[in-house]
Amino acid sequence: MDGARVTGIRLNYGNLRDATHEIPQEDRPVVISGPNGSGKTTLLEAIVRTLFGFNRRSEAGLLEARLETLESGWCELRVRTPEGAHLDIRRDFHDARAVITTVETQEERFKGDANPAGTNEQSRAFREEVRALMGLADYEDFSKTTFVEQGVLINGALSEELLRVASGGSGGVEEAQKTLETRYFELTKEALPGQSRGKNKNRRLEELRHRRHELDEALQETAAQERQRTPLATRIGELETEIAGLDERIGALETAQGGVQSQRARAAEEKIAKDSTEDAKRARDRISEARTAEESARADFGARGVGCGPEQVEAEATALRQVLESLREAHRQQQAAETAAEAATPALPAGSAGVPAGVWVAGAVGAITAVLAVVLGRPVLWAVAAGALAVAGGQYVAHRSRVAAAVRAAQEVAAKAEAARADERKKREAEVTSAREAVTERARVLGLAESEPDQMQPALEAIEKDARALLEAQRRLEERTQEAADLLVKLRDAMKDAAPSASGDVIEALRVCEEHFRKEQVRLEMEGEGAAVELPAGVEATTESVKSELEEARWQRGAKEQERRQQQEALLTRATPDASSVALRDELEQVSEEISRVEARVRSLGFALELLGEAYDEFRDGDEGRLLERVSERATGLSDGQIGPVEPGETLDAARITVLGRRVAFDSPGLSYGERVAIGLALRLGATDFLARNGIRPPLLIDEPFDDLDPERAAGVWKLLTDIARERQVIVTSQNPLTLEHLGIEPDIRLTGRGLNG
Amino acid sequence: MSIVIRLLHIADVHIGASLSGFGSVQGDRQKQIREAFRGLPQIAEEHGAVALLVAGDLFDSPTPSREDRAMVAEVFRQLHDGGCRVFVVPGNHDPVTVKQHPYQEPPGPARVFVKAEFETEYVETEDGTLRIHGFAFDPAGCATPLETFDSVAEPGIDVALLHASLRMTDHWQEGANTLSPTEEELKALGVDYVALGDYHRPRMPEEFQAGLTACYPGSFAAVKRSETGLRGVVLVEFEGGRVGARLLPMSVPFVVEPDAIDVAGLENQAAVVQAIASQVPDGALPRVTLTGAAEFALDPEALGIALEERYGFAVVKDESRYIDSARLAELEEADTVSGHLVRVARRRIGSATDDNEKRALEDALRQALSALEVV
Repeated sequence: MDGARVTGIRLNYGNLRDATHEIPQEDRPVVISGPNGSGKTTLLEAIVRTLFGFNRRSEAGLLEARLETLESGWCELRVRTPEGAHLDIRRDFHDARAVITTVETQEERFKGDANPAGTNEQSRAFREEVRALMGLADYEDFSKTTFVEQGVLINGALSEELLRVASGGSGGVEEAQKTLETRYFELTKEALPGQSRGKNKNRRLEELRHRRHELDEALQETAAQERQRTPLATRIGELETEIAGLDERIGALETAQGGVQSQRARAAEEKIAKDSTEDAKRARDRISEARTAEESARADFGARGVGCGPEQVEAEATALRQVLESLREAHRQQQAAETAAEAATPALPAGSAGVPAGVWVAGAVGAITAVLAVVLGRPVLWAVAAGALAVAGGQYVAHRSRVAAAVRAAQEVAAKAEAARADERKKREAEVTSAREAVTERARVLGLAESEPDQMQPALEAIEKDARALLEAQRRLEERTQEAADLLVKLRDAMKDAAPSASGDVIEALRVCEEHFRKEQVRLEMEGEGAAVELPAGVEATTESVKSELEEARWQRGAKEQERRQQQEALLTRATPDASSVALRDELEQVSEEISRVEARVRSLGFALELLGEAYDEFRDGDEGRLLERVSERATGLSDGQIGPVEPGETLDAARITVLGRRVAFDSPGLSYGERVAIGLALRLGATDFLARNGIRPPLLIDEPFDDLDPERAAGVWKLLTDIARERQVIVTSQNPLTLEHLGIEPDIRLTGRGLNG
Repeated sequence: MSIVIRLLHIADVHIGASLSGFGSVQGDRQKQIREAFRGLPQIAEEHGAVALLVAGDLFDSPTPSREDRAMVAEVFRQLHDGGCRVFVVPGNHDPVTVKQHPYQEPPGPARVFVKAEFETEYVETEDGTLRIHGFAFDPAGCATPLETFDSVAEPGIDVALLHASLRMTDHWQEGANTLSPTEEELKALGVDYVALGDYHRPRMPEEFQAGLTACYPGSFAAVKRSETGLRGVVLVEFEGGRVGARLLPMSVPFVVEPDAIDVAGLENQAAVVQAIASQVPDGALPRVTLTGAAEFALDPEALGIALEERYGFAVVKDESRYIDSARLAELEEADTVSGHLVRVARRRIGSATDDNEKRALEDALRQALSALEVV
């Protein structure tokens, strides 16, 4: 396969100012000719430096010299790639920046720092672009192989360095290895087989394994939780069975409770019917009895001949008693007046009767004092006795006068009293008469007109008794009637449509009611007999027992339900909220499948690198011999057999080359100048061949290849270069028009002084 | 003219699924599935369906996004407004046995069967009564829900709606969360149609035992790249005493698995792509198996990339052989890295102890040659 070819150059570099040259694309070397100083070397150098630049430290002086007097030093190459595309590579030598543009698409592949010593990403990327294009990335490697500067050939020597450079590209092995490594490390951070260091950052495989690990853990956790669901689910099932059983028991108890309640209600209704029946009967009996009693009492009362109603009897009797009392009082007054008149006849006052006590006291004192005067013989006592007796005598005389006057007065009073008694007697008699008449009148109302007042009292009491009995009978009848009416209201309410008319006879109505409730009672009794209540076992057929059992069952159900909810809650928490184990397994399956695929790929890439490395080692094993073989072929070819072959030694340094029959070292000081140039060229061409074997075919640039060669060797070199040019681009310079003429070469680019096209 | 009652039957929509197996088209596919789901009201209208049955795994997880729930509710509302009632049973991806699940509030006017025992819903149509019987499988609530089925002795069509993995079948998943009935148990229900979900491959009524009219519509659209073939909605037609079911493909790209591609005689990868393209229409998602002896360093990864450029997604299963190809024999003769590579690979393959290693080495050879850009 052909290598990259330079097809044109524009430059403002060295002594070539704003120059443009098309590079012919022929299967022969391109020849640039011109006198010394015309810019031939500058042109080749510009090509090389555009690609590889200047080391701004070690080559600062050279760069400065090339840019001297230039405001802007630059060069732009148009290169055809091995694949046939065209790239424009422009380098600005002042700032070491470069731009690579794809001509066909005008796509800017690269733009940035292209400093060959740079360690930044841009400069590395630029070097990679150049390596991809030319197979070599450094000026040093290029200058040791396919760029042959003027005068360097005489120093040609076979060295390990040459071998290293010559085998540098290894036919794309390095790139292939990098490609495989890149692919490998895109997939995993694990160290490559046989290497100890991997990458730090997780890659696809590690991410997948991490995800699988996460999924595994999640699945285990979920599965464990789901396993825990089993006993919970079992318990929930048990609880639901128990709850269902309790529901059944509650239902039975509620039914039983309803039955018992119905029975009670029926019994209550039955009792009401029975009570109503009895009430109606009782009321009917009582009212009948009251009526009979009332009629009897009325008859008794009527037989008394009383002229007033029984309700007036009491008042009339009271009035009669009052007038009877008045009559009796009149009689008493009359008799009392008679008695008082007899007792009030005045007695005349007695003559000695009533002597005052003073008389007697004064007499007694005089007598006693007189005795004492006698006994004691004391005159004074005599005086005292005389005085006392005198007092007594005086008092007695006064008393007798007052008695006479009194007798007279009494006689006058007695006469007046007698007259008054006569008036009083008449008055009393009138009062008695009036009272008697009042009694007669009152007694007539009560039917006692014929009775004597003294005999009226018992009759009156009998009348009063009958009157009271009648009134009592009437009251009782009225009471019973009211009671019956009240009862009827109640019964009518209970009977509703079957109720008797409210306007009919009470007793008849009561009879209708009684009959109704008796029938109702019978009906309820019959119903009750057909409505048996079924109770759960162990429950007494009482309301209280059923109620108690029902409450207990409901409580138990509540407790079971609560436990069921708790278990359900626990059950729900035994599942991950994000995914079920099914979803996890699905993803795990996918991830595992992907891991298998990636692992296989990783293994294959690892094997690929192993195979490639092993193959490359095998391939490299014969490199020394191959290089010597190539050099030998080139030396023989360019010298028409005068130089060569090459004989390998233990090392490259020990290899020997035959020159005109002599086996010598490549850098033997015994070699002529021309022989050294020829050997040096053979080494470069051999190395170039070796590069080509490794797939690296950059242009071969040789500055003045014919210098110091005799015409025969120059012809041999030209023939050799012409052969090489069939496989790769060859550009040579020559300042010697005679040699060119001798070789029959028409220069492709003629440079004259000052860099103008020649 | 006989009376026909039609309904739509879908399952395993897995709305919200990551679809991670679909690589770069994952996001597009999620959108396509949602878009196809939005098209259900139009399909229902076109076919005069009176009901849509969703047999589980409507959502991929118990916690779908609010947007997805809203989208589903809107679609169900449109269906309902158009006279197509919606009935849903939860699946094992969106079960009601977890604390938070998407059916705590029913999506739109849909009737979701969330009880662990059979419930029945009636759809009265001008042409008769349709009875939908369904339940949400919750072994804690009811371990044997099929036993809770009560047949209705009245005229009408009975449909059982279940999310279940048939026991002892190729898709049987034995697990606590999965109902695993037998065909006999389904048959014993005595219903006119058993609308199943869970199995992602469509399984039409003719694949069930005689006397059982059941159907798995398969995934609404392939959720995994292994789910090949047409996917979509099953249109069920009840006509007289007969039940018909046919799959209406949806617009979501299908995973197409053509016959194995024999790479023998094909010059290069482009020729392989062309051979695949002749069997896989544009818009589909190829899942191809390569066989035969390749005469070039076939790189399945590179082929996958080429197919992805054309189809957006591809799965390449490489069973082709390269080690015996004439091209390798030719390469082997050269004193080049490639020649050495082939020789080294042959030696290693010859000494490999198992087929997996041989296969890995052969693949490694192809990858190394591909990296060397040897064609």
